[in-house]
Amino acid sequence: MLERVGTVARWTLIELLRERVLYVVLLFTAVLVGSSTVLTPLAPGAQKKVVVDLGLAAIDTLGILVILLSGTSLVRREMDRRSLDVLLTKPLTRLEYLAGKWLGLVGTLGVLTVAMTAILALGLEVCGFGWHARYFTAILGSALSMLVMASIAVLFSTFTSPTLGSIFTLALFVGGNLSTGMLRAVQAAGGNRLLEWISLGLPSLGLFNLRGAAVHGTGVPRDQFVVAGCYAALYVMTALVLAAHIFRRRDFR
Amino acid sequence: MKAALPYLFLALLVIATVLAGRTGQDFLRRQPRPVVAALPAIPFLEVVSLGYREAAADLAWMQAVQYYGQHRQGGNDLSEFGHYLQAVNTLDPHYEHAYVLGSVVLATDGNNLPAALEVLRRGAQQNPDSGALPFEMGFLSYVVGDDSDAALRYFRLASQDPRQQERAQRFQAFLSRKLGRLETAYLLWKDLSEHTDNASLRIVAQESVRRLEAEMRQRGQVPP
Repeated sequence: MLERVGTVARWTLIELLRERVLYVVLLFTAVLVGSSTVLTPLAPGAQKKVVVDLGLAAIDTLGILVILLSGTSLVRREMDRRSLDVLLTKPLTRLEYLAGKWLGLVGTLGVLTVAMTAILALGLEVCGFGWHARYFTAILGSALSMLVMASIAVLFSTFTSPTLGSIFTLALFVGGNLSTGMLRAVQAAGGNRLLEWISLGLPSLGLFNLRGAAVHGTGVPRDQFVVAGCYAALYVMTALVLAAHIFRRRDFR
Repeated sequence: MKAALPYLFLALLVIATVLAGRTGQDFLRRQPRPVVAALPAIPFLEVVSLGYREAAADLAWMQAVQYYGQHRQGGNDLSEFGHYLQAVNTLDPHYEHAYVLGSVVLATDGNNLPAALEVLRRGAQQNPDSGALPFEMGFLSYVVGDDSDAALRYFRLASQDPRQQERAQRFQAFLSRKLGRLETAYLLWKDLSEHTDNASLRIVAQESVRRLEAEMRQRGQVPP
């Protein structure tokens, strides 16, 4: 099983890298250079914070951008090329196929994240601000968030068009980031059962946001890491199983 | 002719862009000097920052700095500065630099020491381990408010943070002497002279200890 998933993942990774997804790294470099040269003079005394904040935010945002642009069309592309028909005649379950697709997307995001982290570290060293190991905490949080968002993109790619899939994934990303604040606001206003249920259905992306703690060095409790890791794993598994269930019911004739 | 058409349009577009730019500049020159656009309501900012609160706080801080710059050039009366500052503090409650610099602007240019101290108090509540914020409260209380007693209390609080200890202790010793508490000033300077790694501060501390010893003897007191 693992071998079959690995094969799909490898080919997905190669396909995505051939699509010149790595150009995102150039965009990241531009953001970093722009923030360090144009924006830092506007924030006297807080130059380092500006570069680190924008660098960490850009790693997260660009990861999501890749998921929106590439992740939601993973399955559709194979359908259009008819290569999916060939694949499904092989001894490969739909879950294995989708898990491979997800893993390939995650691999691409991993390559991008490592490259962007290296550029951020290099940029901070060159500017004389210095790199702190605690920034890895924030990047790890972003990586967990990307795992969840990639699984959502794969889920949507099984039953909608890439455009709609991108819109739905983006909506869940926005909702997921708002869910904690929304729940708090609803409870403060006396509570609204319907909105509470809606917010519980959204991915709790605030759990993975460790950027503030990393930048200010306030430390992240170990429990939060464990909870975030378990939550991400559960979310990914649920999304992939659900995607496989929907995919199994689809008629490709 | 057909082949030249795209180039003709490109050339026209370049000319139009140049003209539009000039017209825009003329238009801007005729307009009254624009005030930096006010920030939206803080709860709205929290929502639209979409989890990127620290980066949003940076952008709000830059906006605040521009607003202050405009005030220095006579463009506004600084009345919105508190709002900008509150937006930054809400988006990133650990942004110490904004509390410190913002409070200095409020206390000096804004002539509003209570508001400045309120900003710092807000910061101290969010960052209880920071000595920089009580230090600034002490500094502003002394320099702007001329309240040595309050300043001394804040410096004592600030000296509990190892990162601020030397600086706060130095100000504490200076104020203790000013308030006539020679024994306290003597002990603080003596402690500094014995424990500081800063060579020039050690010289200042040793000199202060000598001067205080002489002063205490002159008053008939025995240095501890």
